[in-house]
Amino acid sequence: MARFDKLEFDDAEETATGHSTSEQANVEKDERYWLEMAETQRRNGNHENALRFYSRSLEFDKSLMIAWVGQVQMLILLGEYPQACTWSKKAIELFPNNPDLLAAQSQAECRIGDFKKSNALIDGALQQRGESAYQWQVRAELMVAQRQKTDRYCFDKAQIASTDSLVPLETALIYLHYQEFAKAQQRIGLVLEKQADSYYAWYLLGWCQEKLGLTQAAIRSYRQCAELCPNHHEALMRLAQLRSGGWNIANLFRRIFRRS
Amino acid sequence: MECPSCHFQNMPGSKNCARCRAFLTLVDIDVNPPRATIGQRAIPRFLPRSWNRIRFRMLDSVHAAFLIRQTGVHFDGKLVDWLSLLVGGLNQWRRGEPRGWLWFYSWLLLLFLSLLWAGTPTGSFMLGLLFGLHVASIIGLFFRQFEEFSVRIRATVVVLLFTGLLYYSLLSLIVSFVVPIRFGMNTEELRSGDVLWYRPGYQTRPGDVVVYELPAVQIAGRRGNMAIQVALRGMRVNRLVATAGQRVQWKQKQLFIDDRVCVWQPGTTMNLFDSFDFLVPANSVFILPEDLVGDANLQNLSKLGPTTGTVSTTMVRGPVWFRSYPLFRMKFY
Repeated sequence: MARFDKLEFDDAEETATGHSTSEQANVEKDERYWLEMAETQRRNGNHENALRFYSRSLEFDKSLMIAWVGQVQMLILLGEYPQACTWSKKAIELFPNNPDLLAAQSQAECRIGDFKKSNALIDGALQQRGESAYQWQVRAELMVAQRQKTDRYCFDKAQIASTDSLVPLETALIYLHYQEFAKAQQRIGLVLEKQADSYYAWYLLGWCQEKLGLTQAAIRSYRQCAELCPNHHEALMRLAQLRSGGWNIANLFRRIFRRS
Repeated sequence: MECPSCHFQNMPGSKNCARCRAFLTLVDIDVNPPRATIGQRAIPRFLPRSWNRIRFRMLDSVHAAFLIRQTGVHFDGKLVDWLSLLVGGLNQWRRGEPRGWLWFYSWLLLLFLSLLWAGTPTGSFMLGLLFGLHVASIIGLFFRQFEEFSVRIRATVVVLLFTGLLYYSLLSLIVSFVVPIRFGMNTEELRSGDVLWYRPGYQTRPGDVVVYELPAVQIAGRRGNMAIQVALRGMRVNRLVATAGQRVQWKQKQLFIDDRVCVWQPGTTMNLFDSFDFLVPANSVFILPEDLVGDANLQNLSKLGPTTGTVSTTMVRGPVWFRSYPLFRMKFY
């Protein structure tokens, strides 16, 4: 069935984005449209769809830099680091020394574990003209990955560079990748201050709270997520697990070794 | 033509940007990124992250252990404190903790018992307890400061590694001076189950009970009605009576060394041998082959006296120094 995996159907995309058919009919589906769709999917945590929409937008306009960078970012968020690396290299061949693409490759190298190369790439990116939030985020991620303590400064610089709520959201995702749940929770709080109806942010908040042992708060967050998006399977699944008391070996060991 | 990368205005018809060399004509370029297969997707998520986590968390644990001085709650971190970690429970005892004496004296008791029964299963068990108590005492010392579960687990692993390394080094050092072995046969001198301590590489003299490797010797024998081949080899413990160049004679059920009656006469096993008279060759010693006969009725043994008794000096491991077990037959040699 592998050759049918990549087939795309318009209905499925429309359902995923939540637009009605009548609204769609009036909108011209150009590169801006697909880019907007990709951004929406990205904010909702649907990185697979976002990647697909970035590709769609590039089909209309191959010089759309933000889409190239977005593709690499989505590959990283999907955990496909070698592919992200390959793709960023290809993009850099087309647009040499583009700072965001260099930052994207740096992030992919960092996730692979090549900190030396990653450091060199992000240094190169920051030396280029045009500072962006993403470059500071990647710089900060490197610090988190290498257990340096100045990551907060870089993440704050990223937020100053862009006031978009996507910046703290993706900062939280970086922290979550490195299992820094308390710091991630703080960043998600910033997202919710700006955009309280972001169900993905509520889901991530619930995840952080669950990992920090704040079970009741996690249940409330997941419930909030489920209210905003009734079909959010992950949130519903986590809610069911938390309500059933969730027995596992890790919890058992934690209980045995916990000091009174 | 505006460059999509640096927004430089290029001349119409240019293929590359004059400033940044970016492609200006992007016609036949695939825009669909490569995707990972299910297997590939699993590997990069799991491996690099886990490796980095292990690497940094191990460093964190060591780092945390060395930062203890700054917290200054339970461990001062002076040289004497670090040195006292070498003895289980000593830190607790020195600080006068309520059960500190129990840690310390338990460790001493276990050390004594493991030395007393060294070379026996009980001794190994006691050594295991000793190690466990030592690790637990160190962890007990640090744990109060590590409230987080994962840090405690990591600290436990680090303490286990360091204490294991310490014990391994100490045991290796001891074994280079004196080695305990358990004897498995009954002879005139020794009984099965005796624990003997020998000094590897020490000079041996006539009269010493020595541990040595017997070269393989095949002897025909009978067990009941069955013809069997008995292979004599492996580690043996017997008395060394003559060195290279000395004359060894076995006649009239008596052993003579250089024509004098030997002070160390063998037991009844030697009666199986025919009389012999030979010079001990160079780089060899003569060791009484007393423990050669098991339950088999060996044939041809009568002619093998010189063969089984003559051992190359390289095969001699060292003289027996002490018999520690059984306790009522404890003896220094």
